[in-house]
Amino acid sequence: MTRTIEAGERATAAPCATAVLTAGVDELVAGSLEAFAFVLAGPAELPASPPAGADLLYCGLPFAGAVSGRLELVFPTALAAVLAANLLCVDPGDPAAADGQADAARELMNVTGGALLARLGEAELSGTTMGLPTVRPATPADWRAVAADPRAGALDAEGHVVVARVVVGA
Amino acid sequence: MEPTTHNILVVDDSATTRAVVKRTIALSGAAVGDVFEAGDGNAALGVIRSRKVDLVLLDLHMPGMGGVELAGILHGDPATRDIPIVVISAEPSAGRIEALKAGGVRGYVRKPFRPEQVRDVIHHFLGGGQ
Repeated sequence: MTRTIEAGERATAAPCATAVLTAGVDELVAGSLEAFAFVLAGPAELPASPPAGADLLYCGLPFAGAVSGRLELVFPTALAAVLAANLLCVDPGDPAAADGQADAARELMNVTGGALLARLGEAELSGTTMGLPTVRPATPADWRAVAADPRAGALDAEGHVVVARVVVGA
Repeated sequence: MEPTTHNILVVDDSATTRAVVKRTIALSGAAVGDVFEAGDGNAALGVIRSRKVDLVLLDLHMPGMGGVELAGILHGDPATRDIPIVVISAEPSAGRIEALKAGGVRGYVRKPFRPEQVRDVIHHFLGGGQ
């Protein structure tokens, strides 16, 4: 027998989903970096402002359905080059790494998004789908917006600081 | 006599992932002929309709025609329904994967994958295991 989830039930479930999805986002991203691109990452203080002079990338991944929201990361472009270099087995200074950095960042978002949504129970997960990741140059304002979120996390990925958050209900 | 070789189509919007998969295929030890690439479902259809393809390694989340739609088209066409399709995706829903398998998808490797997972898929569907 099937039944429709009533609006009231969904409203009750939303705070639970928020807690499940937003807890430990830094650890989630660290796990993805290691499994996906062999980059070791550990906890870091959450810096309110980005490293001075660093070129930054903003990466976003929306999800929608039973639970809606988005995953957001901001990190130095140099880290994306490391990801691409590790995946392609080339030196980070290799032109192929530079060409592949946005692509590698998108794949990081897919992998992290998959791991994030896997935290949901299958009932909610079956009604929640990932969208396509977006990657663009970031501004210091993008960094500050993520870092100012009380649920944000930060990690040090081989010398590059990453700030991350999950916004539920966006 | 020349060994029989098989052609593989890698469908993923990420050129980096396609490169990783291609490298894994090259190291698999299987008798693989051509490895074709496509960045979305439409490009994949173009390859499949013009070349001999023996195995499709398919991402799900792509701009344009995604993997779910492409798998449905291939499974619904008598000319292509017997080509094995293995999904390589970050898709986390076991229920959704089971639905794809019921619709003709033959296997699933979750990203991030280990090279031996892709190697095992190739050996399973194309033979050539050591």
